[in-house]
Amino acid sequence: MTETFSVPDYDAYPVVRALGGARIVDGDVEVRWDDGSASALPGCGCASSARTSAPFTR
Amino acid sequence: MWLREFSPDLGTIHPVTREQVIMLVDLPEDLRAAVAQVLPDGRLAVTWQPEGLVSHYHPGWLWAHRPESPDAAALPERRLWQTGRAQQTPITRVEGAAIRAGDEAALGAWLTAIHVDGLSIVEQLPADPDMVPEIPHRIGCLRNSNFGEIWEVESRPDADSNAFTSVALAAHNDLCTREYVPGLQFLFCLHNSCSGGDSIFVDGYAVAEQLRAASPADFAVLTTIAVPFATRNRDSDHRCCAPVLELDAAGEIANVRYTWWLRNPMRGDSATINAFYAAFKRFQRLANDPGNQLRLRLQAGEMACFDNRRMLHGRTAFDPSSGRRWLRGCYGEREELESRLRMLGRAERRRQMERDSRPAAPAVT
Repeated sequence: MTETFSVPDYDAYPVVRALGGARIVDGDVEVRWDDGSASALPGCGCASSARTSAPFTR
Repeated sequence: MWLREFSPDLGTIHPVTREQVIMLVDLPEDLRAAVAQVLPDGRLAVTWQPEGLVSHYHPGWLWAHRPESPDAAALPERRLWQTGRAQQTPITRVEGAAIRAGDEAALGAWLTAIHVDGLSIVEQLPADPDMVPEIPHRIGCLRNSNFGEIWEVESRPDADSNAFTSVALAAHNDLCTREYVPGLQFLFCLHNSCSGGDSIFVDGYAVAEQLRAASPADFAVLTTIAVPFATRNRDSDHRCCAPVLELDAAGEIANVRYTWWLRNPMRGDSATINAFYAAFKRFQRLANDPGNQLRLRLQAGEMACFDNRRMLHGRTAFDPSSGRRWLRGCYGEREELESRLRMLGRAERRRQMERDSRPAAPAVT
């Protein structure tokens, strides 16, 4: 699918933090920021029975 | 679902409107994020199965919308007037010429003051009736009513509102008989040479919080008992049965409905009616307390701009035989002001982005 835009609205989004890595944890996408903090981005709510421990990847 | 439904791809978001074109029920029941990785250009790529869709997310958008974050585009918090010190409230005055010229800094200061403090004054405008609607149009569209889109506040013999007489008006807000009370009001002074006719402003949110602190039971009454507000004049009959104080989902005061003289007799049991009268009287005492009132005299060329669902306004009586008092007014909507403020914030973020020299940042198109 061809992508013609990079954000789903018309606001402006300065890159305050760069992404340092990402992994999938219990159906959510967990990202790590360049300041070391992490955010869990709800993916599909299909959590598995045990929390995974996949490493962050770039 | 959160991440999937904001995927910036043509099948999910319309590329022109930037509105969603996919419904949650259109997504597979067994949807899952199969792969997540950060691309060399800084974006997050997520592969969704069984769709096979690869979504690319901008890091700036992800940071701004991460679920644990405060809303980066949120408007500033409102600042309530201090109990007993309303007269000392610092009211932001902005120069009319700057607003007319479209100066974004002046516009931002003006709109922020109305949002945060409930009231701001545009000064040094020409005493030209056309300033209404010119100045309010800097925010957005006007709100019409049976009084017309633009109305004149002068004492006149055929008055269809107390406002159009010379009697004193205790603090109130306008059009509480409407289901959706106008969010903004503009009063532009063209003449004010009468004796009397000073303006009064009261922070209705502050008064409501005083009531909440002093008498939670009365506060509860005013937030739950529907009051029959009614305007019954010669040509119209507007009614709305609603509480005096309306709360938002967080329990914060969202709207004050207090055109105190526009009410019909209540119906219901005596206990409820008596409880309302006691609570309403208490609120009225607080609104009439001089310590909660800011008094000023509008000069020709000054426009008072205020949040009509928060601020109460009134005036002292004036003698129409001693000169002329002529205000021209109109209503607007709070949501138009909020939209304008957000647009100013968006422009600032865009400028900040242009200053951002991070080489990995993909361009927002």
